[in-house]
Amino acid sequence: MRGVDLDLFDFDYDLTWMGFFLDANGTIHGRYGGRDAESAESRVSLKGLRYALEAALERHRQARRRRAQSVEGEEKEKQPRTVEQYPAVRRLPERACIHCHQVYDLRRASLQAKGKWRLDQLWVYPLPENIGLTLERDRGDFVSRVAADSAAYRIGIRAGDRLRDVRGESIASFADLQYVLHRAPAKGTLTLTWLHGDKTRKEELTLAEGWKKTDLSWRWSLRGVDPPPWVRGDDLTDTEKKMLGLEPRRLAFRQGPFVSEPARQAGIRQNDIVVGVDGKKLELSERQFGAYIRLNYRVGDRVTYNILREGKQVDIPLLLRDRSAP
Amino acid sequence: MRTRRLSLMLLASWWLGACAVAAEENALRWRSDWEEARKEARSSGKPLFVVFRCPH
Repeated sequence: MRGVDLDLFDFDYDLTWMGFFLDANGTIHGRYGGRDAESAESRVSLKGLRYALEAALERHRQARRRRAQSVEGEEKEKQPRTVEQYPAVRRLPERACIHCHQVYDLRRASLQAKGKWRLDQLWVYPLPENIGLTLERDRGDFVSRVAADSAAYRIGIRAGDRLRDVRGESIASFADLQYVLHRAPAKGTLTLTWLHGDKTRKEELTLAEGWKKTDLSWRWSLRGVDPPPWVRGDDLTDTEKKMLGLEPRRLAFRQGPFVSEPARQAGIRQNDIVVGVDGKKLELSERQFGAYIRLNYRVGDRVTYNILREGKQVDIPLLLRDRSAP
Repeated sequence: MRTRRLSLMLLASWWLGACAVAAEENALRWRSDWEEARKEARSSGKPLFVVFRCPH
């Protein structure tokens, strides 16, 4: 990401693929990409990309017509904001590649150094489902489902409706909507315009506190947030859980061969099965458990891991250190 | 018609994981230099399709 203009190419940096449709003057006509915790590919398709491309080309043509009719001044060149401006980048080798997700790491380090880091800054790029909408994968402005009693349902959006714009931004893809949702307030309202049959409707949707929260466990950048759980391994299969009398969705993972030093010192061993923390019976995968610890505990907290070892339950206390601690 | 529309776009791509540019794939010519692609788009009036790829 060295040298990339972060103001222009402002996207969800945890993604492995992201596309922009834009003019040379920096006018963005559309975005394509995005994912959820289930899969890196469940929200994208070639048909969806073509659909978004065609919408972007139409916007490009409209912009050209507008430019042809107006007298515009010279394009102003501004100094771009780049990763090199984050002080923490100096900790990296001079010529090292900077991956996309590291933009989040560098930004977080910069905010932490200024004492401005807040945990709620992790809630980036909320899903359309956070306001109750599921979009069609191949036609990213069509609503395929509206969750009952959701914010979108309450303003009258229904399956089959077509989004026109949200907060004044045209929508043709999941990424277009995610970008708008990312920039929407943590609490407040969101103006949506959509087509219901041949009627255009415009309403304000209410954004309740906490509406941006999603499953962050897939995010690579989350690994840079302290404290880590210090235990890691593979989820048990449904059959293994059944044999142990555990519900299929219950947290249960087997500590792998590499036992971290804090876990080893606490007495955790390879093949221990972690089934809970502080007596809580959680319905999480191992990956989600890592996110759960990072979001709900702080460095210095003492937790008790509930473990199954050779058929017996043992409770093992562990101090949650940060990753830089010796 | 759709093929023609696609050809109206310049394509630019960054392979950020390896910091290297892969060989050209199929008939599309991807530009790996943003400033050059932008200059070309400015003079031709064509839009750009810019892709970021990262291994994780």
